[in-house]
Amino acid sequence: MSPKSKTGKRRDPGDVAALEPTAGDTGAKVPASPSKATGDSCDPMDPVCICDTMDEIFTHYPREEASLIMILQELQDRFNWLPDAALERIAEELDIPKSRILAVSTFYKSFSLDPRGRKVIKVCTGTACHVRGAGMLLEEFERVLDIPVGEGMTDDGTFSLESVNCVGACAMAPAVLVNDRYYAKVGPGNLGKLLTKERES
Amino acid sequence: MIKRPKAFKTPKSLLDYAEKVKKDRDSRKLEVRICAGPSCVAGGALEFRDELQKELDAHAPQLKKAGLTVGTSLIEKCTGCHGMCEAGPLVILEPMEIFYTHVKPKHAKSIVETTLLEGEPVKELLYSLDFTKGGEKAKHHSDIPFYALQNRIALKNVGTIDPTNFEDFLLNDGFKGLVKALTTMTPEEVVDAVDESGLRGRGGAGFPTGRKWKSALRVKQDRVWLVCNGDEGDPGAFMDRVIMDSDPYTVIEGMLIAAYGLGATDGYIYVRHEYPLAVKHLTMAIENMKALGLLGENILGSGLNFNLKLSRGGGAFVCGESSALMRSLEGKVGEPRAKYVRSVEKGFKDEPTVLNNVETYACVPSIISRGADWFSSMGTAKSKGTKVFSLVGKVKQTGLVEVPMGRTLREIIYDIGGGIIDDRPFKAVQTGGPSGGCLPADKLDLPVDFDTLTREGAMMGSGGMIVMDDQTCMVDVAKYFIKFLSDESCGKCVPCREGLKQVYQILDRITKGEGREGDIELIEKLCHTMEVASLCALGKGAPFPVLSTLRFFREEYEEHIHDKFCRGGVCKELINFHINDSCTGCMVCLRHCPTEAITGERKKLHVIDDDKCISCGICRNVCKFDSVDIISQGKIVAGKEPAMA
Repeated sequence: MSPKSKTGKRRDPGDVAALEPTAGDTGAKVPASPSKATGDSCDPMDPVCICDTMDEIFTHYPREEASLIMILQELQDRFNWLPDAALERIAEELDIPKSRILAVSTFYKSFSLDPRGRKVIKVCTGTACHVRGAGMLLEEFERVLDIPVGEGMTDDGTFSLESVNCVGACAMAPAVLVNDRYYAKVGPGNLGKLLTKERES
Repeated sequence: MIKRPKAFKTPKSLLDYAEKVKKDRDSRKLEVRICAGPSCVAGGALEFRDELQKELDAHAPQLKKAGLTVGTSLIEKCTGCHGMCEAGPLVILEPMEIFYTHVKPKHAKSIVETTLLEGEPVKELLYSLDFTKGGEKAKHHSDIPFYALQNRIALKNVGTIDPTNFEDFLLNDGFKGLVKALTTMTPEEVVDAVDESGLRGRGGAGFPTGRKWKSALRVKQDRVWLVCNGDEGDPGAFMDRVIMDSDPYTVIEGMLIAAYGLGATDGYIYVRHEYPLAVKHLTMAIENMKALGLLGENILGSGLNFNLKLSRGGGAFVCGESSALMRSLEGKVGEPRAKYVRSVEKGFKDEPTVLNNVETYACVPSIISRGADWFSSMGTAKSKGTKVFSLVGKVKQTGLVEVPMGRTLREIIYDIGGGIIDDRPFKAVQTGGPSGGCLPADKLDLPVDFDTLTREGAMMGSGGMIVMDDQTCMVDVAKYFIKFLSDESCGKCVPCREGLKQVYQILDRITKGEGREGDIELIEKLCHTMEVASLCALGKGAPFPVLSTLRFFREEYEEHIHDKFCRGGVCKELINFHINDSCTGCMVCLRHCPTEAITGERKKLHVIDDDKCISCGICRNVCKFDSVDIISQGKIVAGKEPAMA
């Protein structure tokens, strides 16, 4: 037998569409509201809002290069991504080239330079999850959500999909983390339930 | 309720307070401990807690009659991870030693009525000793091999205390080691004790902790930094997370003792950002200890000054490497540097830095309070004490276990872990994370310690143990680690950056059935170059998963290359799926198939169309009747196995 080709065409998400509420037709690929962690109503695309938020963030740290990662982390916690205008501002305030900020924010996986969904689904692909079928699970998430892993978000701005090396929940493999909530033993059979629950909460 | 002093100014004030709390708690007759580790929480532990509180309120009068007053003589609390994640959500009742598994909110009522009021166990919730529903039940948790065979030092408080409750920690010998060090030992004696205990770094490399501390003392500098490495990146290992989540004060106590011994005044705990609960509990513990005068200036009036900060990682595996971690603490890209100057001389901010792993620090308080001899009486000749292992993969009782060094792999996997899921044949155990290796069945009787496993081409590493059965493909496992490392390589040195990429490409083509004559030799050559020429442990250790699988499972590589055969039934391009006669025609697989490759009617045998099938494996995963077989080269390579989810 010769190795067969595995490029068979995948069918449309089909029944899964029923899970998704009608996508808001805002045109812009930016979540209408910032992440749950913020509580404020700052629009990351509005320069005035960014300024206010940044002013506040800068009060928490000394203005030195050593604070860079912590500042980026707080920014990421607020918006779920790192808006460019904010990076410009950090470069100015810390007096370091923007290239260095970009180097740091692309080196560390927890930072995203693109807007992400309100909920970030992290599929654990650690060893224990791998031997229990995490690869298959990740493909199924891609198919059901109709977004590639690590890129963009669903049309309604709800979900982004990422793989993560290990969430330290190896005994409950395959594990999935949605924002800070853990799900144990996720498989194609119960993935729909997970999405419905997260969409509603 | 005993009033907690605003701050503790002397060791005596701390001990006096502990004594008072102890007396107050003597009135406690019963404690209901609910495991609130991530696994149990995902299974509904917190919903159970809500329900239990309601039931306790509803039954308050009856409970009072039975001598149990909620809040004083009867306490319910959430603890950290108990370790036996597979059987969660877990609930333990002390001092009755009752151990309940798979507890759901609906069980709250029967636990209150049957156990609390009548003193009888709820039979259906007891642990089954042979893993079957009707099997013999364990009356007490000490009857369960998973717990009975353990010896907990680093995990001493894990699962017994509420990690957010200072008094809980205090009552479990909390700060006993610190008080002993400050009141009866000189800093030199503290370092000597750690040295004599034989403690070796638990993060993976196994460098003797005492030797590291002594070399730091020899460096004459004004300031020494103390760093705790909580960037537990090894996939398959989660002991550091559990210790930080479930017992944050012990880690800090270990650091304080080290600070006293080394004269360090400032320190950092560097925690992975993937561990939100660890960050939360450690932050809480640090703030609390600052307020109580247990961190900061003149701690307990001893003259010891120590300031501790928490720093979150950014999600880069290489930052678990000490020199990369220090760059990351400085706010920079986490690239390692060559180690011709050691970090005890020039580390964080180019100043002397002592870095130890979470589990290492967690061992220190017990070593000081119980003595170096006690610690070194456990373990093997060169690996003293105990080690925490995360027993995961295709093993029945997954979870976290702590055993003395020198126990055999077989004891850990079969006696503690209960053997392989579905009693399938054991194929390999992967130890040591991405720099470790895979050991086959004939190595099961090896004693586990730092040196023995390294000799066999694997390593103990940070303690991850991923058990694999016959339905695992070893070439795929090697490819998995190489892919992992090539994603995580920082890219600074060529052998690691390019070597990993090349090895990955070769392994990828082998798993796709496009392997060529000479591929194995080429891989070995590349691995050798990486091993000698890479800058840090990431690249130097990267070849081990490949070389160890080549050493013990070479025939699998050859079968992939020459026969296009995958005996594990994993490599998609080499396998087909087939529905066998046991199919009941339930239509579940048909509904889940993403490519509509399955046809069939209700109650009739379903059929898979090979041309449409993309070998995603979902049908096999969702089938409740084990009706989907995996076939490679006409042979059934994977038959009966229950659905995972």
